Amino acid sequence: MNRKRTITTVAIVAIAIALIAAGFGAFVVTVRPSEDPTYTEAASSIPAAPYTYATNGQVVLRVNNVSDASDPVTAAVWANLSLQAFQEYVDYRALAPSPGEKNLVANITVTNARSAAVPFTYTDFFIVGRDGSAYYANFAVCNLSCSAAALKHQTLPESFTSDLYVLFSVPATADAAKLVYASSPPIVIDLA
Amino acid sequence: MPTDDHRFGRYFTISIACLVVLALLFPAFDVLSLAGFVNDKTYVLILQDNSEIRPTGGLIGCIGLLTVHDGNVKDLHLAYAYNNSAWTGDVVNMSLPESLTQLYDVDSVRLYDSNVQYDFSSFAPTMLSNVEQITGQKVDGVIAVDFTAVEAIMRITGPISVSGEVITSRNIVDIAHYYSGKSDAGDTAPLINLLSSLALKIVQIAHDASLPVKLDLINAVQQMGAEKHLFFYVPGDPLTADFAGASATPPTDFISVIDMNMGSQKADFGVYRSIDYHVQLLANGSAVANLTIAYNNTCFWDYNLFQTVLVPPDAEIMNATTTAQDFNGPLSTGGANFTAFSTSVTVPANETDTITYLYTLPHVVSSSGVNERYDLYVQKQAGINQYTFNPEVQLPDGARLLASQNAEANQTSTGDIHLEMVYR
Repeated sequence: MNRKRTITTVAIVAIAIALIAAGFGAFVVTVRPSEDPTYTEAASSIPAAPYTYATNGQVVLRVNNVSDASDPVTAAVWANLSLQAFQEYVDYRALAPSPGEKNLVANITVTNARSAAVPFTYTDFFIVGRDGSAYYANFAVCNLSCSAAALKHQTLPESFTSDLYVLFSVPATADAAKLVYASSPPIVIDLA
Repeated sequence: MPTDDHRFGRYFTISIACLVVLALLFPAFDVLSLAGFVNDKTYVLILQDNSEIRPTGGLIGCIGLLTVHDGNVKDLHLAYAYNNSAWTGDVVNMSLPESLTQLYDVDSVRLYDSNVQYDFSSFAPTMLSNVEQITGQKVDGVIAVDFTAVEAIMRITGPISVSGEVITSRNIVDIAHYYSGKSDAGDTAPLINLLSSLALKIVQIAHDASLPVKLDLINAVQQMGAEKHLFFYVPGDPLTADFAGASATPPTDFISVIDMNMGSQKADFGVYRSIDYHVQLLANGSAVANLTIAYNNTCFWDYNLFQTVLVPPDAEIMNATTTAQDFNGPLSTGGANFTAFSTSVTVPANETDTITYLYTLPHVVSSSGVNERYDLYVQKQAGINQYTFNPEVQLPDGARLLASQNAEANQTSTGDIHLEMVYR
């Protein structure tokens, strides 16, 4: 009788320990959402390289440069264009990065590929890091007429063409591998 | 047959047990009540843009009414604050800080500009009553969050798609600023849709999250509350009292720097603050303090600042200087528990300027047995992400330091600092 009771007690304790361990294990290995989305390559895309033109039939893009915002030339251009964009209700955006981050600025020539106005938003741009993380656009500036069309009204009129400077906040250790314009199909510029 | 003593003992034990159970149940009941399980609760919801710093944390970007029912959002109506034709633009009469009224000659403000009190707990009751008066709706409390709190929460929830856009902890501030620019141009719908949808999705994600993620979110909320990026004011509620944003004015030495960005746009994420404090303690328990606050403006535009520093109530200013070319002040005003020194300055683009106050403090040292004790509380302003604190405490002649805490140079902090020194 005592032996039976002992076995029962040991079994209950063992089950309890197993349940607690399983619960703790599940707690530890619970997958938390990642801070940044993971880039998934589309089934079809329009590949391109810097300094070359690529089009999805709506817009033509040419990536001229991707530089760190701490670069004095980039900072000067950003400040100058911000003064113009401000007249079209685009706030000033300081270039100081948040702790642990850096700011990259992509200079992209954007052209309307059609003979009619096309919708456009700079928030469709994102940078893909070498680890496959996607970093979506933060802010953009361009000259006065471009700001009125592309930023304020999110539309590119017929024959529109302008340089656009798009800012991305990325981890300080991240390297930009690709710049993607999320249209259908997407335009993928290989920065490597 | 139990004796009277036994009966009394039993009743006493039962009474104590009941009190313990009630004490344990009260917080749970309070949480359920706050979440609308007893009756629907309606809160004023404020988004404070801490890239444009204001005394309670930041420019009020959006104001809304949030109603919760059984732990769920029943209703959320957000409005772009800077819409003069909406109720958020109504002029409200309120008691303004003397420093502001004297230096800027103002006696009334619009609702969206009314967070000019020295701390959130002074502002929230006025905000609550003003909203009740303007909207005619009964309000149970005030919740305020800034962008740093939203970023901290989104680092846990991960990316959220709203209106076809991918919003992350890294781009939420800039996307909101982009749409607030469009709101200034007259189209408020994109901003309101973005923020309303984002708020509802965050609540839904928190609701559906696994237990570890829920705990991460609770930790983030607690940390943001402690660092004054998130406030929750409910009149008379003890559970939320720690989140109500009251600035302590202890009966020792303290420094509370309160900045107000005066129309310098979204500059404050590019302005770095440091506080240098040299205090010379004298043998009679008084002190001479030299406080310098530096502003390193890394923005490409000028930074216009109205600064107020709260120090102990009996402080007397001896001198004030600034390296800024363009300034107004200093002005010394009083309060029940503090003295306020105020100055407005313009810090040019890519430059650093300082403001220095030299003042006396009659009583800042207390006796602790045979030892002397000096305490200093540095109170971080709501909305500021971090600052550098560089203290230098000079003991009276012949005194020997026995113990100290938080007295090292060049501390970087995201919260309040309590410096203590014991000497003989």
